[in-house]
Amino acid sequence: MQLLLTALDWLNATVLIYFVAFNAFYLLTTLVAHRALLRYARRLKTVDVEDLLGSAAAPPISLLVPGYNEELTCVESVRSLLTLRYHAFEIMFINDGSTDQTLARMVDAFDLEPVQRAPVSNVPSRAVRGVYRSRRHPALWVLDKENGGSKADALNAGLAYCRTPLFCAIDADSLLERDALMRIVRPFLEDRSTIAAGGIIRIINGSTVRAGVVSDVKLPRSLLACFQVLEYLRSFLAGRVGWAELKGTLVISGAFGAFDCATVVAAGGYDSSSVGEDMELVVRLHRYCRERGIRYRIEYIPDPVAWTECPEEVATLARQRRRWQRGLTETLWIHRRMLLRPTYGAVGMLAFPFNFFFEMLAPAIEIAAYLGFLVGILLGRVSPLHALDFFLAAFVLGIVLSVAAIALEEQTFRRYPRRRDLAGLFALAIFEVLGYRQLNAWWRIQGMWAAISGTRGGWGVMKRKGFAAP
Amino acid sequence: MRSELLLGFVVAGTILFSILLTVVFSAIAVAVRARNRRRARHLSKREDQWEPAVLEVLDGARTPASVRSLVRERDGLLFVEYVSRFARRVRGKERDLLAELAAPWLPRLAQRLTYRDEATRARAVQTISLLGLGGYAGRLVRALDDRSQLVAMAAARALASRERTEFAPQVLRRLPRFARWRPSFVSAMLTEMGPGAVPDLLAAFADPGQPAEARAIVADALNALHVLEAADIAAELLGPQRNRDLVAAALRLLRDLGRPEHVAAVRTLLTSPDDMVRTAAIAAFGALASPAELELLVPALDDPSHWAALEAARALRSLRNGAELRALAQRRGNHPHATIAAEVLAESA
Repeated sequence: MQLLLTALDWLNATVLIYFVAFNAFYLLTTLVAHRALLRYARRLKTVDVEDLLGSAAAPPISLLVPGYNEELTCVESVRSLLTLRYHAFEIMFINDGSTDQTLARMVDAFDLEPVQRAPVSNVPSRAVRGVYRSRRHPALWVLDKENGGSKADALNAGLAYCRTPLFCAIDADSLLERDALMRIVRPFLEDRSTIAAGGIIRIINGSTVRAGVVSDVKLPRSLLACFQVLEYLRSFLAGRVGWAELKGTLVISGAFGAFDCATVVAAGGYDSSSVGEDMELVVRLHRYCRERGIRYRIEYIPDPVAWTECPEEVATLARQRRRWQRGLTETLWIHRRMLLRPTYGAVGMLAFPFNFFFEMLAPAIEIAAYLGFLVGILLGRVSPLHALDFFLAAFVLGIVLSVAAIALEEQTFRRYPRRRDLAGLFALAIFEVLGYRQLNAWWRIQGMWAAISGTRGGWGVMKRKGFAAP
Repeated sequence: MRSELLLGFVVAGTILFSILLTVVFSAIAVAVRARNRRRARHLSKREDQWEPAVLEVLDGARTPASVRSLVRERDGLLFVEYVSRFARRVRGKERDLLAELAAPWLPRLAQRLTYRDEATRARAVQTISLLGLGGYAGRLVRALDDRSQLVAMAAARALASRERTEFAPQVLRRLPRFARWRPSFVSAMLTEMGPGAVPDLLAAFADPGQPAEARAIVADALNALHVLEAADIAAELLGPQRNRDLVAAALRLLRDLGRPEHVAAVRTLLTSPDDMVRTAAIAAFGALASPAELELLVPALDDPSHWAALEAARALRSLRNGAELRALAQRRGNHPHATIAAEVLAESA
């Protein structure tokens, strides 16, 4: 019994140190992001997007849009992509053997005809049944393939047919801002060693969409969606900018990221067996380049925007979060040899350990902390006042990170112009730590367990309202 | 007991520190919003006042000098920024009028060329090149050697223009500085210099003292400007020991501008072990070779590189009326490049 009690004391002390270290690290990346974002905002003033759009300098790019049962949003999403401002791009919608009317809708809406088009690389994927091209929009292609069971397999099919130096992977339910392509290509112009660049993902729920363009940005009505707005701000403005500054970008969201086609093909394309194919690819690109001594850059830039619809139902959100955590766990496990290896630079020594010990394990430790303190109180080993102090500290640190992200948004991009929304974001920062965060931790533990137990993944199907819905 | 006390202090300290940070960040967010609103209101008020006057100047109904009284001294740089937005969309006489409007405040803007922040310097270079290049050309040439690549590139883009070909040698001399930038971006900038810069471009292309990567960029610019004389230089550059970027650029140039006498030089690279070079050689050979010589490309239909096979198929579509391609297309499923043949046949149909 004594041994158990000592273990409990140790657990509680360890958890306390872990929480402080975890939040301190987050705070550090936020402060790094703060400096980097302000510098970036100044630099953005030197970028004349109109000038770049008008020049022939920007390399041709293919938009790879994988879709599975996207009959509700595919047409509107592709229509929106056709209005992008960029001098040379093609859209490749990849229908991954949808069982609904996705292909029929695309054929009708864009007057598609079957054509001959050969693949130009050997990236493996399930068989392509047919290639279609729009009679009305020659830049629009549709690949119809057998269901490969994953977004990665669909992207690989698109990659095999990609004939441009760059490609941009985007989700079928995302809306890109009109100049987003030009903006995301900029790092590739400024440094020829750039092999990947990610843009920011913002939540579209609650905002108005007119003719494929997001206008009148507002916070969603659903509380669950509001929490996600705050989470995305924290993750993209504070987290990813900070990590990019530390040269430790490990994730470029599958919803919007641009890549050097030749490098991705040489690295073997997407991993079809992974549910976190976006993170896995970025980690593998780091590894591929580092192990071969190739000079490379992987950038995250916060001005090209992709808008996406987030889940408003608890069950759908839970599924999404389980998937994300599972993808993270699988990727870190696959590439575990990078952990704390100086060969991999800041990625191996900083980003990988952070993701391994904090992002991956944090939910398990958070839940263990709740249980540990509860048992400690029941057994009289921890005074309720101390437990309260501890949780208060953890919660307030969480609030700091959210408020810092709101401040970053205000100092740079200011996408929520209404005062009410700003006040709402502050309120969300407080309420998020009371319930939502714990729910998230629970879903993430389930995701981690799914990775450990090897449960089969697949497309992350989400119930959609469509962009026009308020 | 002592450790509990210590723990209590740590936790209390953390809470206080966090609360303090929360207050600071919240204050920043609120203050920044208030400041931005104030600035936006001020700018909108000024612009409402300036817009009719600037439009009247552009219409010739008012002199630039008469507008100066509308601009308060402290708003001078705001006014220059405002005018530069118009200047980006116009050229010639209208641009000159806008430059005259901005002239009184350009010395103040020029001071920013020495600021520590590279973005501020680059922005100053861009605005000055739009509105006052005549008087500040020397400063912009000096900016080509700025310690920041961003500033140097802004200066190069400002100086590389059809109207200012006298700066072409200065820009070309600094090409190695831009080795980090995407070659297509730099060659597009050189193309902007237009036909007036062709002698300088040809000299740079032929200059063995220039780094190979810089010559490759110049080759692409000459290609875009359709400079036929560049083909002879390109043919001389082909060789197995050369830099692959330079050889590929020379082959692209020969594909578009070469003559039959260059075929022999291209032929030597049809079996290059480098996929990029071999593909470019096949494309150039296909464009320049006679029908009899095209037979040499038939084995390339089996090339392990899809790109090389595609270029070969495109070159062979006219050979024996496409018989080679039809035979290959019929092997659907039994040959990795059967779809390539089918695609090229469909393109020609």
